[in-house]
Amino acid sequence: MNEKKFSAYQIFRWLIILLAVALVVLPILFLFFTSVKPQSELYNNPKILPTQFLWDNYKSIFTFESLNSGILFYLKNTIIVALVSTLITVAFGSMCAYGLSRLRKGKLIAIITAVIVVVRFYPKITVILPYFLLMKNLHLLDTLSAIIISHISIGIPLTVMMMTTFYNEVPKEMEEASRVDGASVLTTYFRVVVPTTLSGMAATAILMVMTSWNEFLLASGLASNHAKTFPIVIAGFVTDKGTDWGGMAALSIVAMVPMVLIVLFTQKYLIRGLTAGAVKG
Amino acid sequence: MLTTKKDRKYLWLLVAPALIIILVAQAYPLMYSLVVSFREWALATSDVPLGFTLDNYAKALTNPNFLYSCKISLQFMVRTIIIELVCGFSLAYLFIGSSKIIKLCRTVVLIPMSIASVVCGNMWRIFFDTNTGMVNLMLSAVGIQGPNWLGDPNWAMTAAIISSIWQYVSFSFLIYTASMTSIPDDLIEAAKIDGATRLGIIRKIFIPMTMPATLLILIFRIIDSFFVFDQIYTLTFGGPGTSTQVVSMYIYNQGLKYYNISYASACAWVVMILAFFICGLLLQFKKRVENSF
Amino acid sequence: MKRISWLALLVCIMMIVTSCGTSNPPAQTPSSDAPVSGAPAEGETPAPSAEKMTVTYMQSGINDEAAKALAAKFKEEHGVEVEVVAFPWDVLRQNNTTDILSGNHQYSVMSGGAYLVDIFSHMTPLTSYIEKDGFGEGLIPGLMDKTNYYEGEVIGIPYNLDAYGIVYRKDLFEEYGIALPTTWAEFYDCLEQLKAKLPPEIAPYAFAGGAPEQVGNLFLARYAGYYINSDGNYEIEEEKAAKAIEDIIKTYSYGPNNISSLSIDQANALFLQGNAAMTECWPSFLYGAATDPSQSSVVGKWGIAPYPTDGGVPFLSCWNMFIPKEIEDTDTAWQWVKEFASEENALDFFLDYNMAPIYSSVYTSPEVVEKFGEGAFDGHMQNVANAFDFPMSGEGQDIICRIVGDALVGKITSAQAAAQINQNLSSLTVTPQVLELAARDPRFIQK
Repeated sequence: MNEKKFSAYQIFRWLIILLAVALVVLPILFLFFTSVKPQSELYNNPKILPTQFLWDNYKSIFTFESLNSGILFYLKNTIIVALVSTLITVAFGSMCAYGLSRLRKGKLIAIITAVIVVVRFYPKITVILPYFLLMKNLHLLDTLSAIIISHISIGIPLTVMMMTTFYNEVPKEMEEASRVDGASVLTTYFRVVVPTTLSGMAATAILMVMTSWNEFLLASGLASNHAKTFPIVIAGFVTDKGTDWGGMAALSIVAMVPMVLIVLFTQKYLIRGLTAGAVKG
Repeated sequence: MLTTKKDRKYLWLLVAPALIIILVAQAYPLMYSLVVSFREWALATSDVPLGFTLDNYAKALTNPNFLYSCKISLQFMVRTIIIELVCGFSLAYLFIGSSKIIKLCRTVVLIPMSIASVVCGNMWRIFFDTNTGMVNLMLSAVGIQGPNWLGDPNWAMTAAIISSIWQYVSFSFLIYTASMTSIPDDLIEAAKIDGATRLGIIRKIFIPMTMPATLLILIFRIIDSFFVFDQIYTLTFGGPGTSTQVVSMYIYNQGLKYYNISYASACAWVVMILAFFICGLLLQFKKRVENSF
Repeated sequence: MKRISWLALLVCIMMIVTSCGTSNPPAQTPSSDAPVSGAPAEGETPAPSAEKMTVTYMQSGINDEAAKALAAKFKEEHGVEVEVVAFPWDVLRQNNTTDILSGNHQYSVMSGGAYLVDIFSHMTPLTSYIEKDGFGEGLIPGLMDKTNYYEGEVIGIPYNLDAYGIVYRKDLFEEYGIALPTTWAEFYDCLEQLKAKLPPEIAPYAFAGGAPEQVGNLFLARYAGYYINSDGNYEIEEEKAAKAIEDIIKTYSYGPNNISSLSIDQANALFLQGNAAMTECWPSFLYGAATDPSQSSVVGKWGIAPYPTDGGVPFLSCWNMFIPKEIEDTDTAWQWVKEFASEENALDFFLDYNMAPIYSSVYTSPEVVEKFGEGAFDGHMQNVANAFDFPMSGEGQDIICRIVGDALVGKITSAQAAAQINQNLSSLTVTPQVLELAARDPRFIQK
């Protein structure tokens, strides 16, 4: 904005930028330090920097046996839940948003839109117990399917809201041209509209993956043992006896890494997707 | 656009799958909890819901502990949102630029948003530990005696707010960045040629033009911070005492710890109506702002 | 159309993946709905007939590890696959309760305690099993009275027994000629003497003031009044409660400055490193490490003292194994329970996993005496004999912990705290099960 490189404003600006970056990076770095410190340093002689780097906490996470019933198993669960929920949410949600935006507006559409959107706006805590009973009646308790269904149902409102703004932006001429050529609504949607709004779907997918991966309350309410996901394991680290800060830190770092990588590599698409649609109001 | 009957059939077909899932997986449990809130079901007294009663709502609206937790939630919401909006906006503005370094920095600042709330809460729990936590260690390195963050009722709320804004400023930062990118450069150039100061440009151009973004952030964050659960669960579990017992923790304790199920449902519906009301006000405001454009 | 088939393929993939996702680790799916052999015949308990069983324990590295060790042996001997699922304390309580509440009945044996009082009505009475198999010989005297009952029948088999106690430095007490306190007045006198004579780096007292709910244990030990009034409602005697709170504040004053922020591990570490002369804690968290030179500087120098009896009572922590009524194979479940709580396993579980035994013989066995010293557990046994469960529901306990906690940080005075406790308690109802629990000690209920 300003031509002068070293004006007071630029100095101020870079100071703040560095401060912001430091405030983000330092806690994560400290968490990493906590995961490699020897036990004694954690409780009795706390120092900021670790004197040695012990990798025991990580070793116990990545042992072979944990692949079947330990932490890697829960990691696998979390990946499956996140991927499947995202695929289905983005697919169904976009379709639904398109349908809602192209149908003739009336009371029914307004009600349906309201029903779908309202889900975003109440505390999940309200539905935990009824959810549990519902899944029990469907014989889906303690399965990944239950968690996936619940994640889809919380992801759909977000998808519908985001994609509706995208679909409102799509030039009508494109669709009309395709319809004039004799294509049905479905063909128009899948062949013409979807390719144009891919960036929006990508942005939604990224947000959905993060939401599902990190979701704790519903997953913990539905899964008692076999279908545990990562957040449940992390929240469960505090026992009556005390806390294994080092193990907890290691687990947190391992849980963070995939999502951080996703954000690092897709933030471009995220911003592009959001710019194109949602923030235009 | 005119749609034929056949078209409408297909459009409904597109809508159907999502709608079915929402009805089954959300509407049904929600209605169930509504019905239960009008009956009497506390595990201590019976295994199944009984009868019909308005007592649960009466109790919710007069219970000082519930009202106190509503107050705590509102305080939490207002404080976090103000800080998030201001910081997010300022950071988005300061980060405007297209050099590689800025892009890298921007990416880094987006990281906290991708971390699970429970991980964030746990992390800050480790950091806020009075004796071995990073925060107090660093404070004592500069000679300040850090407070008992998680054990002192006066400081626990501050700790919770810090943990929450650390995570969610990146959300408002993201939205504001996307919004500011779409502000046309020539507008800004024109203003500068006209002699506007930096602050003037911010006030007259940036703030109004990012209003949709502000509203979007408000809509999401008001609800999310009012109903915050994951972070509080891992950071303080509502303690010490009741100093961080936000509404979700209160309902959780009543419903899943003491199993006063219908009372918990009634409390949940009361806060939901409150939240809907706030949202309704916001949406009205949004419509008015949009119409004035 | 191509796109529709793409969608259909997607849905198929989803279904395949999720059914793969529900595949379980080498342990089992919940017990099948197969019918089961009939009621126990006269004489011996029939051989277990179900093939799989799920049992719950607290995830602590103690109970759950012992259970997993037994599960391996159980499979060999009986051919029954036992899946041990362990959760942290809150989640354990929640999952046990929801299992019953939802009619799921996935858990054949549940671990819990008095805090599960609301679902006691769903547990199988075990009196007939106990009589038939002769369980209970060699138990610590009076222990069966402290397990959980429903309508007069035993429903819980005890394991991992602990009672809140005073852990102290025997060597320092001997050196300064301080006698163990038998009354609360003497307790504070001890603290005064320690304060006068100890070098500055050793605090007279340490406590996990920062760990939630521990405060309630201090209150229970000091408060000398009733918890339920003669009308059958929750009420505490405000003057005595205020005094108890004042006493806790006084006790805290002998601790380090950060006493109200210490976690259990930190407080125990203070004692183990020799930086505190007395602490009130769960001895089972401490005595394993205390005998290990790599973790403690006080090997051979510590002891467990009995609480004075002129105040309240020590808090009992007696894990119980319950068998829900609606499961299919109660006999197999009983077989498991019996073996887990048996005398043969008690010594090994104690030495290997620090699981506190319920049999007197273990405490006097040669291996234990060698590891802990002669008479190390005498004071502890006195505490166990005097200990009781908190005579209130979980919500009542939380109310007391929370409000006493407020008084301890100076937010309210102790008199205000006592009044607030009663205000909050007045909105709760006392269920018959809690009444039954409270009736064990005459002091808990107003005459």
